This record gives sequence, structure tokens and C-alpha cells, in this order.
Amino acid sequence: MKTEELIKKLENTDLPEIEIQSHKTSLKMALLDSDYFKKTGSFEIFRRYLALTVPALAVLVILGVVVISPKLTEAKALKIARNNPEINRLIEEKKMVLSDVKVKDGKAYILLNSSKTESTTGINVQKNNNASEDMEGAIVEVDLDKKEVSQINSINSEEVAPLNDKEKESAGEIANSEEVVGQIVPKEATIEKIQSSLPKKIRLIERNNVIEVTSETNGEQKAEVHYILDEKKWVVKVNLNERKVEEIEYSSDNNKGRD
Amino acid sequence: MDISEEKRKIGEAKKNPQAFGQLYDEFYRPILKYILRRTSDIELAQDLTSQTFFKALKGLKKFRWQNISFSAWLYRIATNEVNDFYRRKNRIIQISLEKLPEIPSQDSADSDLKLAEAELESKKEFKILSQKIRKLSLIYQTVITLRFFEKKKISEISQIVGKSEGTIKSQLHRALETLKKEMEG
Repeated sequence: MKTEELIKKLENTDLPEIEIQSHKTSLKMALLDSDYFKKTGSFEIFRRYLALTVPALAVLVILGVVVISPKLTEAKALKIARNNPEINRLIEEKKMVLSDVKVKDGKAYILLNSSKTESTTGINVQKNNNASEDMEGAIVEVDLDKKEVSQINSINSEEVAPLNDKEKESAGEIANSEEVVGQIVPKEATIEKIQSSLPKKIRLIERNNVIEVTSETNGEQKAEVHYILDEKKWVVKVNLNERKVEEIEYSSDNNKGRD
Repeated sequence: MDISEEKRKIGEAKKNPQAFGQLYDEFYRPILKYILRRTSDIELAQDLTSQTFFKALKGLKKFRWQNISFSAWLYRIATNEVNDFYRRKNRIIQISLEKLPEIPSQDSADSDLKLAEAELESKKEFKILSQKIRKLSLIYQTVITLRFFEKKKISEISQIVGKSEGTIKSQLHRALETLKKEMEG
């Protein structure tokens, strides 16, 4: 055999083209669940939180003192909110941020919502450390006289971006027909509920003398399909406009018993 | 992917699990295929692919652009994993320490594996060639697989293996000569 013939043989050999989706998914879950991200997780979030919010707070305070007094009130309210242990826990554990503030009648209303960015490609599979707590956002009420957080009210996504029955049914169909969902969520699991997902871009507005949450994403419709089996839960996030699954969250309890 | 885009992606992946997930999605298939073409063993290819990505994740913080692309860096880790495996000549590998969570739907995993086995079995010519290639030295196996199965350029192989392009060319030449003798023998 000549070398040229051997090269031709090597170049033209029909090669195995494989894709092992189940291995790909389980390896990805293991990597994202590894110590690497756990170690960096809470400290990095805290460090980034400090790096981003402390200068912002300082700027707010300076502007408030020098230029506009209402801004000082907002800064004070933010400071009070940040000193609250429950809010700190939500910021650290649920990656939430204080994103908007409005002052009215001696009280400040602060928007607390998710800082998670959306995946642009593929389905994002991730662990939710506290699946039983499915809060996506909250309005924090600060009593400015007493200088304390008086209420933390979870935002009802159904009020901000409601879905009708047909849209919910469609979300269930999209989730059930997604292959990756079939690989992660056991067949025996049932749909516990289907609800709208809180839009990523929200802000506070004053309407009819009341502070409310409004969506800044026009026409975007997203839903959450909640699956349950015994005490285990999975939340499949569906983009109804693009008719695709974007994210699957699973409870960390799901891994118990496998180690 | 151009260098600036790659730098941005790696920078994000170092601190953000979602960005790492996207990078993983992009490179999982090429790395698995490369390892399978080196080993012709699906289960071993899965194990070594897992180890490659765990090592990549551990080394990600230290990764710097020093005349080597991220892709070449990943292929280098994969190459080292395969070569180390053959050097040890046993299958007690570290995956037992980094256990993967089981996919709840085991049926799906079994059927994926069966499909992959069937695909591999159907490539008879590749299996024969692969057996002959595995009789060569590890460096010859590496350069032949990268050049002819992975269609890598000499410059890319040079990055992966960490040797000059001249050295790669002469190793490739000697590898082909040795393989030719194996085929005739």
C-alpha cells in the first residue's frame, strides 16, 4: 500500500457520529453542581453585590444630599432594606437585586427581583437550592419613620403578566413534548400547576394612588410548568412566543440518595 | 469563534455557571467524538469526556491566551486523559470520585447508549482502522486521529500537542509509515 492510498483511506473513512444526550445532560448537571461554582457562588455574589451596589448607594446619597432630597429618602430606604436579614438572604440565595424604589406617604416601596440572565442558546438546566420557595420577586415596604422593613410581599406573576387557560395548556404541551424534559423529569411526575412567569424587566409605577408592578417587556409571554413527584419538584420555564423550553430547575433534594 | 468573542465567553464562564453551560454545550460533542475515535469504546469515551470537562472546569481560572485557543486547550486535556488512560492500562479511573447524577429516566440513557453502540458497530472500516492505529505509539495515535479524523490543521495539532509544526509534520510522516506497515502486516 502506498502512503497516498493510506492517506486517502484515512480521509475517506466513514466515522462514527454520536450524540449521547443523557450523558450530556447528566454531566452538565454534575459540572454546574460542582464545588467550583459553589465556592465562587456566595462569595462572588456578595463581592459583586458590594462592588455594584455600594458605589451606587454612595452616588445616591451624594446626589440626595447635594441635589435632590427625595433621592436621599430613597437611599435611606435602600439602606434600611439592605440591613434586613430576610432581604439579605433573598439577595444571596435567590440572586435577587433591589432594582427600583418609589416613596409615598412616609413609606418607601422597593422592587426586589431576579438578577439571573437568560440563556441565549439551548436549555439551561439548573439546581434550585430551595424549590419549595418559588418566589421570583417581591415588593419591600419600608416604614421611613420607624426606619424598618414593615412588609415583604411576594409579587404575583399572574397579576403582572396574566395567561389565559389556552396559553397555559399550550405551555404544558410544549414542556411535555420537550425531549430534555423527558430525560430529567420522571414519567411518573405530574403537573402540579401552570402559571405565568414573572417578566425579567419589571418596574414600579404609581397608578390610582397605589404603587404597582408593571412589565417592561411588551408582548413577551412566558410560563412555568411545575411538576411534582412525592416531595421532588421540577419547574420547566417555557417561552410561549418561541414555543420552546428555556430552563429546567430542579430541587437539590432530588439528588439525595444517589450519592 | 474569533479570539475576542472567545475571550469574552471564557471570562463569563469563569464566574457564571450559565455561561459555562453554554460553552459546554458548544464543545461537548466535538470532544466526545474525538475521544470515541481514539478509543472506539463508548463507555470509556463517556468517562474520559467527563474527566476532561471536570479538569477543564478546575483549570478554567488559570486559563490564559498564550498562543493557544480554548478549543486547542480542551483537546489537549482530552488527549492527555486518553493517553494517561492507555499508559495506566487499567480502567480504574477517577470518575468514581466525580460521580454523575443519574438521569431519572434510565430508559432514555439506555436507549441513547444502544443507539451509540449501533452507530459505532455500523462503521466497520473505521473499527478495523482504529484497531491498527491503537497499535501505534500514543503520539502517533494522537497526530493521526487529530489530522485525519478530526481534520485539524498542522498548526492546530501543534497547539494541542505543544510541539512545533515541524515536529508534528515529521511525527505525522513517521506515524503514516508505521501504520502502513501495520496495515500490510
